[in-house]
Amino acid sequence: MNNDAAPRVVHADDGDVALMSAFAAGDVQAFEWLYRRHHAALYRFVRRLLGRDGAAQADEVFQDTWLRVVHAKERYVPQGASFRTWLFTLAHHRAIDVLRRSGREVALPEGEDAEPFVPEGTPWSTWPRPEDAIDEVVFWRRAGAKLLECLEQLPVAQKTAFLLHHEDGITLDEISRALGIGFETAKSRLRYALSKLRTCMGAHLDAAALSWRQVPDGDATDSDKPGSGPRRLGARA
Amino acid sequence: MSGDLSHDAHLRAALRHAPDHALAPPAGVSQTILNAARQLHKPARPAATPSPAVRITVAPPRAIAWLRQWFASPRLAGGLATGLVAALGLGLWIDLGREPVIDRAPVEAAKETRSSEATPAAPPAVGSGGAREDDRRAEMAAVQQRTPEAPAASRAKRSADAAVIAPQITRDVDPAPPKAPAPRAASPERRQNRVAPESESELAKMSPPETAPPPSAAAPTPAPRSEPAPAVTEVAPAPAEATDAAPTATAAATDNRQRDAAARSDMRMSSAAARAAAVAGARAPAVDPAVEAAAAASPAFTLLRRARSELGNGNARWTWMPPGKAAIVPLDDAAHEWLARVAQATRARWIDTTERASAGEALEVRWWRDDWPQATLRIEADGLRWIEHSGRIRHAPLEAATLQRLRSP
Repeated sequence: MNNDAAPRVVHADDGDVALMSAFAAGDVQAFEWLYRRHHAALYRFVRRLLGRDGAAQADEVFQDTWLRVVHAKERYVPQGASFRTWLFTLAHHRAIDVLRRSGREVALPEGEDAEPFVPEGTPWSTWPRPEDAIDEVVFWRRAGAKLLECLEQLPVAQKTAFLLHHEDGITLDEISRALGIGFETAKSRLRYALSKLRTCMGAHLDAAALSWRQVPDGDATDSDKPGSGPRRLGARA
Repeated sequence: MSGDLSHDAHLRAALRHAPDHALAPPAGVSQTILNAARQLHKPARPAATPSPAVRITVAPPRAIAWLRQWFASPRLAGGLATGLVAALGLGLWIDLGREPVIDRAPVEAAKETRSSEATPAAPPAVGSGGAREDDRRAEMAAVQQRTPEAPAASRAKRSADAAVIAPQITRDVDPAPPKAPAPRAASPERRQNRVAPESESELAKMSPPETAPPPSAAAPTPAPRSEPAPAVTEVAPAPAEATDAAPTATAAATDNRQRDAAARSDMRMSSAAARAAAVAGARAPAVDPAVEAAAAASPAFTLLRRARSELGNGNARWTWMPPGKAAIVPLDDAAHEWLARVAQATRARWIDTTERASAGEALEVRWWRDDWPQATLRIEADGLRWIEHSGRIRHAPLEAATLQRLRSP
């Protein structure tokens, strides 16, 4: 390894770790690329995690998270987790701090991680019926708005698991390591979150009812192969 | 991961279409973050920074290495420790043999004067300075004999001291007042009075301080003219009380002394001292505990004091985002001054509230300690809002003019 060599010139499409290393070596442009790459997703994550009541503190949490990144540039060592996971974990910890400080309950009720969840209510009670939907976009936007309402009702721990997994594409294994919880715990939290959200949304999609509807492009699931294109919802159920 | 739950396509699609999906952080926040990153690299090292591994492998210069080894050797450490112990012992031994003569003189003199007042059976002989001196010596010896616990050596030393004190007592009786006791007597007070404002110097600078030094300590004022110096004050009552018995010569001598002291006091009162006296007169006569408590309850003052202390000790790195600026900079003197202005402007105005923000635009000022947020101050249209890291929120209503002044760092 030639240590005398000048630091490698990085580009906007380089990996997060390369950009972070370049930033640590003094390349501010690398940080700006990193910021542009992750800022929107992180801001969204923070806003959703804090919920409606904590929206006023989202900017603070977001800013503090990035400042931690800025000042930790030399200490940052990619140890198993990706930069993105590390970044979102920082934001999560900061958000929890803010929630605790404002007196909101962030701990899960005892035993919730262990007990199996039994859905309550009638599935599909509030989900917009397909025939009411004007078009695809309106349908999914309504669904999105409803989902945000449902997220408000989730405990923070379950919300975290769901958002990191579903929105930010972080695997359960990474989530468990980043949050310092067991894999089974992370899995259980995610399962709870999914069940509750499905119930809240009029969950457990009826394949028959929505089989005509396709998931919009780019929403392929883990089991989908890249390039397989949109698929029918009913096929998954 | 084999045990990983697969994504729920519907929920994921809904998330992607949620109304907040296009949300982005405010431009100001982004600018602050990017500025912080730029600022961190301003005094940065050149781009080709050696990696930590390289830094470790680079061997230090030979001389430095030898010095390090030498300092780390047990032989040197032992030698240094022995030397230190020896020096300490020597210092103690030398100190044992010394007793401050000058310090005791005024105390002894005062004691003598008091005892002479308290013993009407032995009034001073009129115009016989020598006889008085003898009496005082005898009394001094009696006082020394009344302290049986004192060791013999100490007693002998005191006798020797008495010989030194005796002429001084004579001088006390003389019209010329002692010069040394006056400032010495005032010094502890003055020291005490100086400590309080310095610890709250920022507040004291801009407002009437909570602790005002007494006029006698701050500067000679017209009042002390009748009691120019403590030594004189203690001596003076004797002739006054014993007017019948005391000779008129003693009273005359006292009067002379007082006049001389007053004249000297007048001479000493320079223009600066006169100004100080005027200020002292304008100040509050004593510490107001309520004001003290208000200052202590001021979050701005608390933060200022903490930051100053930690910066002074080098225990923590404090940064702040000045009002109207989108950059985070180290807490410097200007920051301290600004914070002190806030503390001064908001004294006794803070009220606890639960509202994190009021309607309308506001300037935000924030402080970090080792990159962790400590407090946020919002300069709003009707006042200041202090949001602490702990969650406590306080509001201080302020006038528009004051707020306007605080909007500039």
